[in-house]
Amino acid sequence: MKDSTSHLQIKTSKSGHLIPVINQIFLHSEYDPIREAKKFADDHESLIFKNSHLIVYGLGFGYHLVELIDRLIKVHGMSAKITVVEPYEDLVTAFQENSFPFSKLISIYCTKDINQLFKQADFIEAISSKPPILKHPQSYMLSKDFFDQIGNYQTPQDLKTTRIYLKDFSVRRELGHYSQQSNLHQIFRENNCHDKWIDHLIAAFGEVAYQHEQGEMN
Amino acid sequence: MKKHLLIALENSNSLLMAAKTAQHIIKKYPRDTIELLTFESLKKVAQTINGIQQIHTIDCQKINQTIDGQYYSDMHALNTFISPLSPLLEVSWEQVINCDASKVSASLTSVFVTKDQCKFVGSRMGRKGNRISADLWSMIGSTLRDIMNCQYISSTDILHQSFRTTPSEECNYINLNEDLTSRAFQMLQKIRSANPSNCRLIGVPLFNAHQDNTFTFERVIETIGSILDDAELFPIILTSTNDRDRVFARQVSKEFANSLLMLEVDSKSLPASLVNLDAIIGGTSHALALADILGTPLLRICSDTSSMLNLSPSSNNQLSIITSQSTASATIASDIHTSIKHLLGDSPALDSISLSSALYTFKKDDFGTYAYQVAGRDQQQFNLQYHMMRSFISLYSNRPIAIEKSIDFANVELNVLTSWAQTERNAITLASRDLLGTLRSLLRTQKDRRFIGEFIQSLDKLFKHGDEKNIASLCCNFFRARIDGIEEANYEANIQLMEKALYQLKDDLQAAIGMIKNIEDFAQEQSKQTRVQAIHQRLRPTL
Repeated sequence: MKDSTSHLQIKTSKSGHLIPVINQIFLHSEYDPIREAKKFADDHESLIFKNSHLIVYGLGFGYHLVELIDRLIKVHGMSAKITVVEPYEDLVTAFQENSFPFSKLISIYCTKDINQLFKQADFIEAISSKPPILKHPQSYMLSKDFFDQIGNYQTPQDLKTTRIYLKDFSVRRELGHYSQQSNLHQIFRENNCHDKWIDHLIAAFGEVAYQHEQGEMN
Repeated sequence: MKKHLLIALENSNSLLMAAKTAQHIIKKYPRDTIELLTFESLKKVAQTINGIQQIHTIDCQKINQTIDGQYYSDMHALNTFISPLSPLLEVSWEQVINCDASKVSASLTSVFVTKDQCKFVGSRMGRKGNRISADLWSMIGSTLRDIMNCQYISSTDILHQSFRTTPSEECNYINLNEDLTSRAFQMLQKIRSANPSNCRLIGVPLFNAHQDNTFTFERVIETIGSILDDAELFPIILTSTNDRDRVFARQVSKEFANSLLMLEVDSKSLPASLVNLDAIIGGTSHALALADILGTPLLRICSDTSSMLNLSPSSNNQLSIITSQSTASATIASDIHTSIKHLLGDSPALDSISLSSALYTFKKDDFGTYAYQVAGRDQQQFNLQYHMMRSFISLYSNRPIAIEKSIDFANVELNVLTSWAQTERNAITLASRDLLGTLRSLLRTQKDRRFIGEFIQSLDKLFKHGDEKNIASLCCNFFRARIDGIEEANYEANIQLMEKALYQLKDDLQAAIGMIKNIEDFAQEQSKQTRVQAIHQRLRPTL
């Protein structure tokens, strides 16, 4: 989503590196972004040592991410992973246009809408394992409200909001027969009449998700 | 070429059931393809089943993690659940076969049946959350499994009858890994060559042994000791990669100064080890069930007759020993040792088996496999009841068996038989009385709906007869299964079907009375003949 209120400029640091500036805020050091990135990584050395996966709030032009991923790979090998959240689409576009070489171990999620962010299953999977969150100071200062919402996010459960998460269209369509205010757990508990195949599917899902204890090899 | 889908989600035993089912399908429809739906945690075991073209798995662990997660909507868990099912729902199946008794399998069977109107085998869930059986055999299978603790016919027999294939002893259900099998053979060959030429290798699986109340630590120690004392037998401990199993096996080994040979096996290498052993002994574990379908001779150690019958034996080459909890471990070990020798065809004196154990072998007739006592404490009462109930099921399903072949009436004391017949008759009389009461209240309900409460009470009273263990209880359980399957939407149609089911129960109870009378007449006649023979023998020297 393009933010009409933001104003992105790209400037050059004294060391000759490109640096984005949004609403007059420099996202990296005006002098030497590389040295600044090294310091940022130094400050989080123990976290890097203990965790192969990090979440970083703020993309900037990625100098801090390059430094972090290099150090993560040294400790954890190719299981290293960084998940980046960045609300400014213009910034991501400018970053990609300037074609910085970037590791495939870094995934970027760009949206200003927190609900959109939590519709992405792979993002939820990444954040659910509770990796440490690193805040890129300038980016965090710029979008503090947005980033704070991530931690406090309450996942909706009602069918109306969550039905669109379903990848199977026939199941998504069939779920339209139930009350849209209810959630899957309520449907499983309260639905006593199994007229359609979807009723049986929810019953089977409920047995696995809410009741079933995994069969053990005896 | 048609496609068959097997659903096996309960545990590894349902996979063994799927393996047997696959074999029957291959036998009947050799050109058809078979696919299997199971849980991700069971995938490795499922891969050992022969004849399955494709395995689809549901990842329970991922679903449960998602459900517990702070950021997940349950819809994400539903996505994980549906993703392996979506392609299956697009296929036109010849039949969907539910291989276990779990609700999740029955519900999933219903998804396929409701969506595509395909045939099904086993049970599925009905519109009101009731259980519906595909046919008489499915009904017998799920009724016996769900309602009664004791199975009078094995699930293998149910498969034979469901697929109309003859009972046989084929052991190619499991996919044996050639490389692992040859390695196991070479390794065990080394042990054979280091021992006398007549030495036989006896596998003792210690999987989940810490939970086994029948083959306890002391009994394991005593049994291994008795095997070691016999120069012709060599024990091999089979253990899994599970930590608890390892600890248990190490404790056992410690008792023998760490001199025991231990094999650590996983689901892939277990079949390879089993086919290379001369026999295997143990409590109830998946290793014994696997040995059964692989045809490895086995001795099961059971705590009671119910656990012996619930194991659904399919091969003849096995024995079950029923032990009592209070018996000394040394006595049990001695009985087990004699039983192993008998299993291996060494003809030991079976009368040396103590009266605290009962040894059973398995035989086959047109109906399937049945248990037959060969030694130990007198179990006439149970044996008679078991064979009569099995005989009743055969009569009920219109596939008669010759009961006199499966039980030795000459050895059944007449007073035991008379007492059994009297007990059965009394139970049938009580059930018939409640049946008439239920019919009366049903007729009243037909005229006036206000009597529905009274009818339900009578019906409940009738269902209670199903909790017992006699022929009347079988009739009542089959009646209940028919009632559960009623799905009519309107009241009048439901009542009509109930009435029909009640009259069928009446016929079943009358058939049971007829059977009991036939058996009594047969036994009386045989007893008379035995007496005549005894007189002849006594007279012969004087003639």
